[in-house]
Amino acid sequence: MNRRMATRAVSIGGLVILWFVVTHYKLVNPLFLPPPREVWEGAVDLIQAGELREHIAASLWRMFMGFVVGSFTGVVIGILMGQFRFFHAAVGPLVEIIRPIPGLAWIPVALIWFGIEDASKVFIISMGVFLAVVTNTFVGVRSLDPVLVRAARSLGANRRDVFFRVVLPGTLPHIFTGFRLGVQVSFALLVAAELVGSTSGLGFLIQDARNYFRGDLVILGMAVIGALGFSITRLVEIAERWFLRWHSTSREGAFY
Amino acid sequence: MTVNLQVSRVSKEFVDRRAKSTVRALDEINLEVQKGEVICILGPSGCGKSTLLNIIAGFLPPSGGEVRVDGRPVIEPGPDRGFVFQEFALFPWRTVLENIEFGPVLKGMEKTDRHTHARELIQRIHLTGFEDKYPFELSGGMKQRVGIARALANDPEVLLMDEPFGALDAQTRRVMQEELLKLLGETQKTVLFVTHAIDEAIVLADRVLIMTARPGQVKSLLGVDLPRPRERTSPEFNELYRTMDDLIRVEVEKASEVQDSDSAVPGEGA
Repeated sequence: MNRRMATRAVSIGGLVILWFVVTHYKLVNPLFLPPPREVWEGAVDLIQAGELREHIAASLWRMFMGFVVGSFTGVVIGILMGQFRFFHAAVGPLVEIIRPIPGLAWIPVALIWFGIEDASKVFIISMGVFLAVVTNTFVGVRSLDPVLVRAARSLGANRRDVFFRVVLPGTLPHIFTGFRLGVQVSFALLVAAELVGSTSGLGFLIQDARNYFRGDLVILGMAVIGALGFSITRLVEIAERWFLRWHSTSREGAFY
Repeated sequence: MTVNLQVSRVSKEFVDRRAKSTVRALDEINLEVQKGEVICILGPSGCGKSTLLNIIAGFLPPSGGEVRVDGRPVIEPGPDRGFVFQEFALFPWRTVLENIEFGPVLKGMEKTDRHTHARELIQRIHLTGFEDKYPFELSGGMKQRVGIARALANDPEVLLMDEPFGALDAQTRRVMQEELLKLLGETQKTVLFVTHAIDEAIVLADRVLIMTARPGQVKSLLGVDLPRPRERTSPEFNELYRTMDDLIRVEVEKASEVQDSDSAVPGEGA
């Protein structure tokens, strides 16, 4: 563990040092890549003005909402599709038609429908998360060993018990696979949507800084996105490990 | 002695949609089992022995006839018929204790009673110390002990066992057979035990039901009047073994002829 931490510190530290050397000796135009010190000062300014916190809060809120909406509908529809043939026949094709449309292609229509406030971003993110979660949930329900349902029934379980005590926990590994994919997708979609049409958020910060040739803030915005993405992915993994502590491999193949 | 389980003229047909034909898996099976009796069911693969067990469990509806447990007709699975599966079928997200408690939880048994009950069973299957392990941490033999304890936790009228030791190695099988006999001696359960190992049937059973090749019928019902514990090397054991082997061999040959002419029955284990 300590050794791994040390390796990580060295690799991240190495990148910063490389950055420092490259900019210190003017190996690249500072307009393209500002030195670490400038980015640091830009960060301090933004933090003191309270702006960075606002941008982060705006982005996280949208992501959170989009994730909740998308994963909830994804789990519900995925389970219904897995449990009822009729529902699968009716809804399956719709999902398959929506799937090949890239999340980014939803941005214009989302801006028309929901404007440039939070709703459009939440819509786009939930769309991406939904697609990741619905498929994995469906596959999870379908790949559940039917012998477990028989076992539960012979132990006195009714339909409701079977659903909550067998189908749901049995599908959880696949649902988590969907969640993990959903987090990745939602970051990409969030930033893209904020770059195109927004008045706040980390994507907007980058776009706005670019317009004013503030390379330091562009880099800062990117670094913050990277750090947030890293942390949230870790959190999901920790949650997964706890919820799936019974799972020998703890990782299912992803379907997307 | 009271009749505990009654199988009357049970038949089963499977529809093969692709071939647009029906396959008759079971043909008018009759069987009466006394309380506390252990019946082993032997037969060639594909003869419908697992199908019969699944019908008694209520997993499959019969095409004709009926099953009664303590006089009540079987219409769906229920806790009065405990089932032990060849593939163990433990809930992987539940610990040993939680697996065994599954039935009692559904019954609404109080937590402390439930724990005491489950721990007692765990002690009887020699898994003390493994209460909080998950199935993936257990060996095959341990898993099946949990499977048996889980079925017994509901205190069922009948225990249905579908080749429960089929997935275990030979040594573990022997140990499990001995432990099962000990458990059954303590609980006096009525047991239907499907197997394709003749020696296993002779070691365990009060009576052995031998089925014909498909469509499965009762070929013969033989009492095993050997003193327990049964010695595999005794001449009586071997004589019985040979008798059963001859009976089954004929059916296996018939079955292999049938298999050449049509496809396997759906829902029938290997």
